[in-house]
Parts: sequence; structure tokens; C-alpha cells
Amino acid sequence: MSVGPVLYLAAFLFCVGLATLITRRNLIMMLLGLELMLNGANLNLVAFGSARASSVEGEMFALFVILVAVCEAAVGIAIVLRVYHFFKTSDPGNISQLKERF
Amino acid sequence: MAALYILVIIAALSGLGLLFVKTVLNAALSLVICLLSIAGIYIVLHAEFLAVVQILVYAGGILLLIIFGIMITSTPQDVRPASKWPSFLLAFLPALMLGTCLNGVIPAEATRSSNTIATFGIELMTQFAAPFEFGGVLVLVSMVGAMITASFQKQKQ
Repeated sequence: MSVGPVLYLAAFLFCVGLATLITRRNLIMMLLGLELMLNGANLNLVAFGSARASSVEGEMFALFVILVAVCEAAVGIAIVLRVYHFFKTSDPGNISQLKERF
Repeated sequence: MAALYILVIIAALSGLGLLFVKTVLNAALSLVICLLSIAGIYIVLHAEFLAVVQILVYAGGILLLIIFGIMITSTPQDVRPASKWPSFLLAFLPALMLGTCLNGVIPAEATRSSNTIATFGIELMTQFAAPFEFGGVLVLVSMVGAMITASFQKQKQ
């Protein structure tokens, strides 16, 4: 079975996630874009791993990526809540206390 | 094979929905569809264990967390990007380039045995036992850290 379409999908999801991360003006949307990027990378790992029979390294790597993504999401949401509580906004453009004022 | 193409199309469309949908909650629901169809792709690629983990952890855990985050922060309408075309190009052109590059390096086709869960479990507990344990420690630490970070308590004077 050809994994070509899966590779295109992986690249597509990675780039859509990156575009979401860059263009959306909301902290939670940025986290969602990050999750999409991680899923694109995972699809790549699984697709290339499935091309090699009798080896589970690709899947194993993807499993650990999911593990780290869980930790990242938990800590990320906690930080977003904290930032929202302090600044009363979730627009990263308005969170500028550390930015130098001209 | 047809199932693979259908799942790929669903995942691509719902992933694109994440970029163009207006509200954050709709984007999160679009991401749920995308993640579930990715789990289906894992099943087609004979990575059954990973499909189950994907549904349990991503569609169950992370999205629940994110939806609660959306409800708590309850932002007004997310401002859409100023113009569509830059983000559209930003998504499509690199995807095409990256996909073409990756498509060029596919190794020779091979078929896998249909049931790899047993092999996967044995490998996880023997060869990959150390990363597994470190992963457990990482989850514990990040859970405690997230709880401490998110808990609002009044500052003592």
C-alpha cells in the first residue's frame, strides 16, 4: 500500500498548523495550531514506520510525541489561564508588559 | 485504499477549517474531526495501538482540556486574519513542496502483519522501558506544574 497521500496530508497539516499559529490572534487558537503541527509530524513517523515491516520504532516514536504533547497542552492551558487572569485578554498582541515602549 | 483517501480528504478539510473558521469553539470541534480521521488513518496503516491512544488522549483528553480553557477564558469573537490569501498561500505552497520532497524518499513498499499490538507491547516493556518510565515522570511533573500554575490563590500581603 502506498503511503504517498498520507505524506501529503502530513505536510499539509503541518503547514496549516503553522499558518494557524502565525495568523490567528488568540492564545488558544495558537495552541490548537501547535497540536495540529504535532499531529502532522506524527503522521509522518507512522507512515515511514509502516513502510518497514517488523519494526515498531516509528509507532513508538509517535507514542512518545503524543506523551510530550499531552504535557505541553496541560502546561500551555495552565499558562493561558494564568495570563488571562492577569491581563484579562487572550490576544497575544495585547500582552505587552515586557515590551519596550517607544 | 478508498478508505485511506476518504480519511485523508476529511482530515485535510477539517484541518483547513481550523484556519478559516470564525470562533475558537468551532475550531476546536473541527480539530476533533481532524484527530479522529487521523486515528482512522493509523488503523489503515496497521498502527492500531496508536489509533486507540490517539482517540483516548487527543480526542478525549487534550480537546476536553482545550474546550474547558475556551469556556473559562470566554473570549469575544476571534479576529480573523486581515486578508485570506497570505494565510492560504502560507498553508498550501509549503505543503506541496514538503509533500513532494517526502514522497521522493519513500522506501520500497512492504506489508505489515495485521496485528502488531502484541509486538508493540513487548517492545514497549523491554527495549523502550527506560523512555517509558521517563515519560511517566514527565507526565507527573507537568501535571503538578500545571496544577500549581493554574490555581488562583490570593497573594499574602
